[in-house]
Amino acid sequence: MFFKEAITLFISGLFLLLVACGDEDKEANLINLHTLASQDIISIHFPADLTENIISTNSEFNFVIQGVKSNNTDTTIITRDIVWSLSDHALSTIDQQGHFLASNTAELITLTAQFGPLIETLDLKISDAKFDEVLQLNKQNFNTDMCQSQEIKPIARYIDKDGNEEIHQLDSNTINTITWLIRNQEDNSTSQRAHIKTLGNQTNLHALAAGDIIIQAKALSIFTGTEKTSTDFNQNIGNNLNSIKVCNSDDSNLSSCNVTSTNIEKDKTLSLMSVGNYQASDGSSFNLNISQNSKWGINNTNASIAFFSDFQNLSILGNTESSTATLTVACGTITQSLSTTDITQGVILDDNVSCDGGINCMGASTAITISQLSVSSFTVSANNIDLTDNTSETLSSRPDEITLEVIANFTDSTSKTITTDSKLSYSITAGDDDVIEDKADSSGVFTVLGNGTAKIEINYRSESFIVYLEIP
Amino acid sequence: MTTIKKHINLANILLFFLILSTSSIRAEVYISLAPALVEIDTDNASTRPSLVDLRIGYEYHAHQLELAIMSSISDDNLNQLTVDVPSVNSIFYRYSPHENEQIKMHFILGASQIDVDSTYPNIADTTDTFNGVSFGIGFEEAFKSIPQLKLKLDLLRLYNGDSLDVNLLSIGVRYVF
Repeated sequence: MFFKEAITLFISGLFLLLVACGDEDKEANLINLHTLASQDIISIHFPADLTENIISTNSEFNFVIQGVKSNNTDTTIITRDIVWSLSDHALSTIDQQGHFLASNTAELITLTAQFGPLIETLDLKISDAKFDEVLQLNKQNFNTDMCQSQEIKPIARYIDKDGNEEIHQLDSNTINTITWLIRNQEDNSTSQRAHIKTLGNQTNLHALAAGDIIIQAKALSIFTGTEKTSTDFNQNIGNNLNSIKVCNSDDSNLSSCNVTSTNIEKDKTLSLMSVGNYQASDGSSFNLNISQNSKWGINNTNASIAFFSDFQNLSILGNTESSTATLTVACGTITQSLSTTDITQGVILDDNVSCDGGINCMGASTAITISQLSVSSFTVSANNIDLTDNTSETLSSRPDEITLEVIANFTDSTSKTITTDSKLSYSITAGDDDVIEDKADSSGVFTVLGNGTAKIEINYRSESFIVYLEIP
Repeated sequence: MTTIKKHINLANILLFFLILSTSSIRAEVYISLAPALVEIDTDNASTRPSLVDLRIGYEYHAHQLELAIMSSISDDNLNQLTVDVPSVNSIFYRYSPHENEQIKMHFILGASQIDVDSTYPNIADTTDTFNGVSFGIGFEEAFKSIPQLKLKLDLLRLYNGDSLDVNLLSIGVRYVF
């Protein structure tokens, strides 16, 4: 019987070995289809407004792929599962996030993006033509409103060694060398309505107030070796702001957010943001975090304010215990002068900002209360013996006096000896006038009268500690 | 493909010899029928077509050897992707370490051939066939009034790939003749 079972198992095992051949190479099709379907994409393409066919040598470019959803209408930028590659022998490189690094010599290559079974290619010219001048502020005209930021992709003229012009997006090296000049259209004065900042090869127009402005780009022409200033680019900054409010910066629901607590402890910070509600051209409205392009003010030194490094939030630091301050924020043309303010670093004034009813300005404010720093714990010793809160400590011999040392540990991780602090109170709750008594004019010192249990309650900033001693 | 077909044919011959070799053993023949849900699981998404799962097998003490033939009941959709499993052919060896328990547990080891049809807009319809080792566990309990009839549940990994797995959940009945 055992033999037959063994035969059965042997044949089964042999059968399994014969049939069990993996098919990993066939998995790709189903995996790709599931990838496509999970994002509901039926076709892909390089979006015209985010794609360049000519890229300067030694520059960088971020390529993206746009997917068309199955309703044939909606599109989305595909952010994952794209496989990027370049034609064989390309000297340029691209990583799997679409970040392209152009070679240092000219070449003609093909860029391929594969998303599941969908493949899209783009012929690229890596050009060594030299930068000459900025021709356009952006590939396409755009509308922007006060307190909004708008990414711009300037278009420039390049000239090759044969004198042929190439017009394409400003390369990532040159864009960091541009000096942007902005004037008010009505009087040609230097404008405080907007500034342009380039960070990480990304250039943004930050609009601070409504009005018409003229923008120029000044840069060294590599082709001529001289500094060139572009023609005037006229731009309007609109005012479709419905309202502005202050919110806690950790609230992601911009439509319903507000400041939930206006209380901060001394030396602690509160993070806030300003939120603008805008009227869209289709009649709807939308909310934006407009902290960076808002004008902020604080009316006294009880608290101080500063932008976080990304300018998306504002930090308020409590300076003076048991005091108040008023934080004001405005979007648009405020009453206060900004002539001495570097608006590229954000606008923060040492006074309230106000609109005074101007139509191109909206403001909001919030009162801030600065409270005492809270105590997280006490470190207490009696005659140099460390004590634990409300835990009996038996002394080895009866001393004449008990001298307490009290250290407050604050919530900001700092500590301070408060034994003689006027706001610290000692209260004998057991053994009073029997075991111990207060020593006159000596805060934290008690005279020992006899043996027994002594308890002293220590109170400071709403926190307490019970000293519990057994005196022999 | 030719190599795989050769393997399958050889496997069928071996199965035939297996049946012959066990015919002299006092084995009990059984049949089982169950609706089954197949999960085609990738890193990004999953689809779950359903099947009817028919099995014929021999049982000898704690050992069972069975042939499973499954065919599609319904396909499954993920957005515009339609996935169907028209057929699954498997052979399973099952071992129950605790024969006398009221609810018997089986360790299952075998091999499966799974056909998967898929359709997607702008892409040609495809049929992919996967061959691989299958493994899993099963549970069953006999009906008190009809001891030959048992309620059974199988959880199987029909195909274990690099980035794609095919799992099976089958709940049905088994009748021992």
